[in-house]
Amino acid sequence: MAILTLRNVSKVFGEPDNGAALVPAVDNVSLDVEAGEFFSIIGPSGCGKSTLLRVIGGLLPATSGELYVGAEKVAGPHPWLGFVFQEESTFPWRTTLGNVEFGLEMRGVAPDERRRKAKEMIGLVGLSGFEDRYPSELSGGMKQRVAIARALVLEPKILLMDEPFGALDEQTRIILGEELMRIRDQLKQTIILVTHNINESVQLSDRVMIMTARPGRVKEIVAIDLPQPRDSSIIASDRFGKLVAQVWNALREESIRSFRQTEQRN
Amino acid sequence: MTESTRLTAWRLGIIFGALLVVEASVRSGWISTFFLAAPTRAVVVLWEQLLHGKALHLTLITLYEIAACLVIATIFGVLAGFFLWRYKLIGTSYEMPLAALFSSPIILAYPIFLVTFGRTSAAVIALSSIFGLIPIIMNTKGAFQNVNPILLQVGASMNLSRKQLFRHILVPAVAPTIFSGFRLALTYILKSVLGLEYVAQVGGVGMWLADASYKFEVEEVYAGLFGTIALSIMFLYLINRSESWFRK
Repeated sequence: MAILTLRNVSKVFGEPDNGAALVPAVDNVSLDVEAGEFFSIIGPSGCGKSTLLRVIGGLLPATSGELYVGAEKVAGPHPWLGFVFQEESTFPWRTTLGNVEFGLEMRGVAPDERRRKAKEMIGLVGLSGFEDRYPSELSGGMKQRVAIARALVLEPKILLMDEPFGALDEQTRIILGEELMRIRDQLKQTIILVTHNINESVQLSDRVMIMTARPGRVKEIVAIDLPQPRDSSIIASDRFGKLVAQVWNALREESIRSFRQTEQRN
Repeated sequence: MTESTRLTAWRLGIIFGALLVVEASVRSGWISTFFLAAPTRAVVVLWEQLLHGKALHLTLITLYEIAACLVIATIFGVLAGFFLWRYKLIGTSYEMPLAALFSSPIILAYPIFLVTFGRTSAAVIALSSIFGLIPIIMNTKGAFQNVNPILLQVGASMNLSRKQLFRHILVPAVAPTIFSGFRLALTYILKSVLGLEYVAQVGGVGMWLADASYKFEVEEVYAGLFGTIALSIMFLYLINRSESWFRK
């Protein structure tokens, strides 16, 4: 059974009563994500992929359609879901340990227990020794690892990641991708990743969903049949190149359409 | 040695070094005692005045006035700042007039306050609170306006209640800017309280400074200044401690 199911989910921005123009962002998206799967969503800029992820995460209400986490129909944040944002999201007033402990503290977990779990997770993301550092003392990549640890410590069944490495340089991005694969293998974590990076989506995923230009619909879902477990050396293989080409072929037309839409708006 | 210990050591070193230079300059006669008191003499006079003279009573008056101004400015300033942020139209409308009021010489209105409240501490508190109020209002409004929305989304994604979002994300996020407002307010309140005490002879350290300066009691003037600096440091320390508590 799928751990996450979307049935005809649509999201339209704007209030019809206010007389403002309605902007359809996501249109009629249906998909199933299996437990333990690494599922990527890719699409042209502004196609609604981040909006779709926020709808899944319960941060935005869907205008229509149904969303199930396991067998439960949901319409808001669900304890099975964890969210990692693209933007810098660590709490600047808390240390690494304080950031990672935060969610457990809010759930009333005893101090000893939450400290133990947080330290374990900090170790998993490779930040042991940095427990007492504040975000201002960490690099961009380290801050994102803190954000990942903060989400993972709550033991979400599904981790939603909105372009988590978008603000990082290419090398850091590849290395963190590899780290994410390791964590995913270790925790058997289901991950849904929104990205605009084709290489990243192919390197990390079991399946890649390509969205159309706005309003975002499902254009194609590509199964990534690269061997598991993988590391970043996979990007040198022929099969990787062919899969990247396949994703790009599906995406190209939509990217051009999105580019034209932007030009017309300007 | 940690970074913060090193900074404190440097800071104290510079302050005591400067005091040492002043002490040596006065004692050697290079600077006349008519203009400057030796710091050690000023401290001794301050101590004597606190124990046997009028200083303790006058310092307590100033302490009370500053504390009252800070409490009034904090309560009304934070509430007004929050209100102006919450209701954007009103907030935008009043931002400019507030900034204009802040830069205007409100101190010149002191005769009105003296007529209204009499030559009492109430007049000093009423006028000085206004000085503290404006930076707190502006900083509070700015603090809430500039909270990174992603931080609130992190809380929402964890399904936090509104109370948890407010106490554990919004409050620590706005604290530094609001507390900067408190520090600014303290500066203005101190100036206003001492200035009014000095000019209107209402009591407090300001009046003591005025008395001493009229009588050319240089050591007492500097003792009073040291007392004022000590009060300022004490209030700043209390503000910084409260900020640490709020950011937990």
